[in-house]
Amino acid sequence: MPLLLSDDLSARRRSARLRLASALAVALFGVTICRMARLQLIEHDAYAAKAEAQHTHRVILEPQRGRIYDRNGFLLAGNRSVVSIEVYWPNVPVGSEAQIDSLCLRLSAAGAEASSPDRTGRNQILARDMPYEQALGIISGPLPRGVNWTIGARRTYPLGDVAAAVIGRAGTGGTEGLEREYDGLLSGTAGVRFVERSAFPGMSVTDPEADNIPPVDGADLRLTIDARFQCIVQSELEAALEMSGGSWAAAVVMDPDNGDILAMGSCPVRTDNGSIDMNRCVESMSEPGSTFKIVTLAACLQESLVALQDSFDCSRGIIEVADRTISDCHTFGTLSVRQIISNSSNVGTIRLVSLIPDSVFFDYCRSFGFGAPTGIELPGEQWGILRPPSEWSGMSKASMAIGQEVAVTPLQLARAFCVIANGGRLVQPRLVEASNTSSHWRSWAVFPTSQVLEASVADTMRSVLATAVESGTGTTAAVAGVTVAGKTGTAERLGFGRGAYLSAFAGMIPAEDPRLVAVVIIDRPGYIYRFGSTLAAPVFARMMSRILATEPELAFGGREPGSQQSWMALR
Amino acid sequence: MTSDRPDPVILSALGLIVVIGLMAVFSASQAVEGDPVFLKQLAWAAVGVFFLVLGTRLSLRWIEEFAYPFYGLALLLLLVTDFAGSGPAGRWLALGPIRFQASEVAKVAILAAASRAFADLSSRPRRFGVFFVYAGIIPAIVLTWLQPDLGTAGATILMLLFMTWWAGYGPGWIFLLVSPVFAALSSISLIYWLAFTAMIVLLLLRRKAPAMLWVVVLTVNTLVAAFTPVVWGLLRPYQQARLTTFLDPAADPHGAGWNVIQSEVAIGSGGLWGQGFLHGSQKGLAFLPARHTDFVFSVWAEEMGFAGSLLLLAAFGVLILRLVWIASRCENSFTSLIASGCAAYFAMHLAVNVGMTLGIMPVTGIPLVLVSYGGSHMVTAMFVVGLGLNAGMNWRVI
Repeated sequence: MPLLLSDDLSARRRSARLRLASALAVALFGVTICRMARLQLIEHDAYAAKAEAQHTHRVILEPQRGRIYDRNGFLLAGNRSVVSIEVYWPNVPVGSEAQIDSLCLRLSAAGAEASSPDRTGRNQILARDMPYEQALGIISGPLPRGVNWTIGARRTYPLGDVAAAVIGRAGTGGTEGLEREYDGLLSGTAGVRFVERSAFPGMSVTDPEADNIPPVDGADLRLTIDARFQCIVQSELEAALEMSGGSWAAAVVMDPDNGDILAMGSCPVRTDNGSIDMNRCVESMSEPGSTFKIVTLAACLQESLVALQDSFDCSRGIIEVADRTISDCHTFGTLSVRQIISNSSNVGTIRLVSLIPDSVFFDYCRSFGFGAPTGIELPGEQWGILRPPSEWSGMSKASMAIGQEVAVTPLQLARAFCVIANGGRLVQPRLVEASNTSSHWRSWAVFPTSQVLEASVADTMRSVLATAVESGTGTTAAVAGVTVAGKTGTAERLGFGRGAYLSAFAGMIPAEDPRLVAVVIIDRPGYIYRFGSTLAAPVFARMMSRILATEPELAFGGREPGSQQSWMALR
Repeated sequence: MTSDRPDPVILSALGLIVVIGLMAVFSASQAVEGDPVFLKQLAWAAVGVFFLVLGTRLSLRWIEEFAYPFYGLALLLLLVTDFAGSGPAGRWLALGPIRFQASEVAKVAILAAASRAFADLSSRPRRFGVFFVYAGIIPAIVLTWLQPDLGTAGATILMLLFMTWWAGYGPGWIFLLVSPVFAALSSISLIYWLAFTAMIVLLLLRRKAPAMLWVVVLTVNTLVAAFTPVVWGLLRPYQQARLTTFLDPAADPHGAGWNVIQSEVAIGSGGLWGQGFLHGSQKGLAFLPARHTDFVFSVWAEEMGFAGSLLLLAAFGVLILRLVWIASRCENSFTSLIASGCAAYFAMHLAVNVGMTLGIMPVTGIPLVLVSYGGSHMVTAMFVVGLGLNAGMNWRVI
């Protein structure tokens, strides 16, 4: 027999084979069961997690960003549905790339910025942020395999750049203005939905048992801004800047009663590289010039140091303070207090301020809100510059009295004029009137005010400012059909060479019972426009007459019925 | 001539397997729309019972007598299928209204013919007889492979090897018989091939093999090693993919490796007690491929967990060990070999299929016997169980 063969099927050999066969079978089963135990018992959690991960798909539900309205419900910032179309190349069958090409052609034809298909990557975005109406024709039909689309939202600003300085722009988070200041409120909270996903497309269903979290939409905001006034203010600023060739212009229109900001214009709106420029109303500070003289007048009247009829000799038009000489533009002779302010006499004002102790004058500057932030809800607000008496030089008080050695923002100036307009109260400016969460409008509290001046002093000052417009430096600010009270300001802009000035006007209408306070500032206009009376005051007048044309009842005042008579008595 | 009653242990194990199979197919068919898979399978199970009874009633003597003509017929059917097959992979043969897989018929024919040949060899030993047996059977296996049905071909070879061993050929013979497979594998690199050839030479030297054996073994192995790269090039890409994916399923998670990964995830997420009958999420969400056919075990393991899978494996274990026990007890060589072949038939199909679902065997696409949806193999398997029972009933017959 061949040596390799042991071919007997004897009982002994058979029982040996039975044992071996059984052992083989047991070993086979052992291996299988060990593997099963490893998968099902030891690594069960990992596999269950893997199954869970591939069955459930976490869909992040983007909340809708809160809309921004003006005080009359006009939409200032809204959202538009946009569609992004992308391709996941591993899911595209080899050989059907032509379908993707033709999809791209259709996308281009529909007006999207379609990128050319390129199989090198895994995910490729074919069209980003197509308007929903444009994309509808494409996404409603069948799409090639591997192509997906998602709906997103894109911020829109119906007014364009008109209110851009206030609202800012929403980028990733808010980048400027209110979009940034209230980003947390506007952006809302993202939700999560768990979708049970099938290996077959189109079989996915929302898992009702999962912890689905609905998104919480951002709160809508209703601003104190009046879109109509905003358009007027912004267009007038742009016109003024173009006409005068200034470097920037800013204007604030406020309701003096409660500090509501009705319009806030800033020019230029955009920087050279196209981003939103700073809001000059709160982010630019400069010497206010003669508009600051109201502080001196207020201190003198409130402290009863002078009466309006008191006369001061300003005949030489020159006054020496410390080792410097300060002069007036004109030689006025003897002036009453009313005339000092209305004619904006530097000499007279310095005479007046010399009556006031340093610390008292400083306190009055503070109480008008200078040197401190107004608390406006905008990022990047400047505090201005107001040095305490301990840092003053010999001529500091005199300089400050005529609006030098201090720096203020246009908003601070407007707020100070509100004190005169509303009977002596320092209001806190605000931009948001109400917010809407879960379709319930909630009005925001008006900030408490502090009484800075006695009402009678404020009324008196208003009459002085009315005189300034009637017969003083501010005659170019007069508006037909309404009394205007206001103060011009012309400040030399130090550091910009000779002939650089800042033209300012701060005023209120109607003078007898102001409903609006407005500040207009144009920086470094052309030389012939350098005075407050030649540029800022006429711009103020145009703004006010256009605003009154839209909202005529503002001309009637309206605080008390008897205000007209008491007003007459003051004159 | 006395014959026992059919073995109750095998019958109850079979009953359990078939019930579990119907449950698993029912569950898997929940995700198959429009096709009354479960009802069809129920009908096939009924047909299978008929073939089970037929297997127990046929005379083993008669089967031994007609084993070769039967094998010839099966060979013919395989040839016809190769040229005129229909169905998804061209594996089906339509005979009027009935469609069946010739490879299933061939398995039974190979079982009978190999038993007959080995039984003849044990009574009339011949030099290199085992080579002649393999030479006769290899054509059927090659034709099966060309169906293309690599899984069935592999399982059949494994069954044949077990029967060879059972017929009394020792490990040396087995090694020489499978040496062409190693020769094929060794063709990857020259070093492997040299090491393999050295092993063969050592074995032949140690066993003092005759010159003829030297010539045959070395010639065949050299030829196989030389032609393997050529044959690999002839393999269908999906067949190549299945073999290479087995080595590293993660290399292509969305392609050929998908099946194994999803099957492992399904089985692994079953845990100890499973996700509950009809509640398997891998199955329900269609992540698991071939849910009611090749990967039906994964469905069962996902829904019934480790405990349920163990129950199914235990039933198979009882069935297989009982068949081995019957084989060892038969007085007649042919009967013993038939029983051993039946045991090997189930053991190999089980190992190849379950091993595939567990990721320890290549994805060869063979169904789980008695469990997966499919008429041909259900009927065949029932018939094979019938043959095994038949052997057990007639173990005394010499």
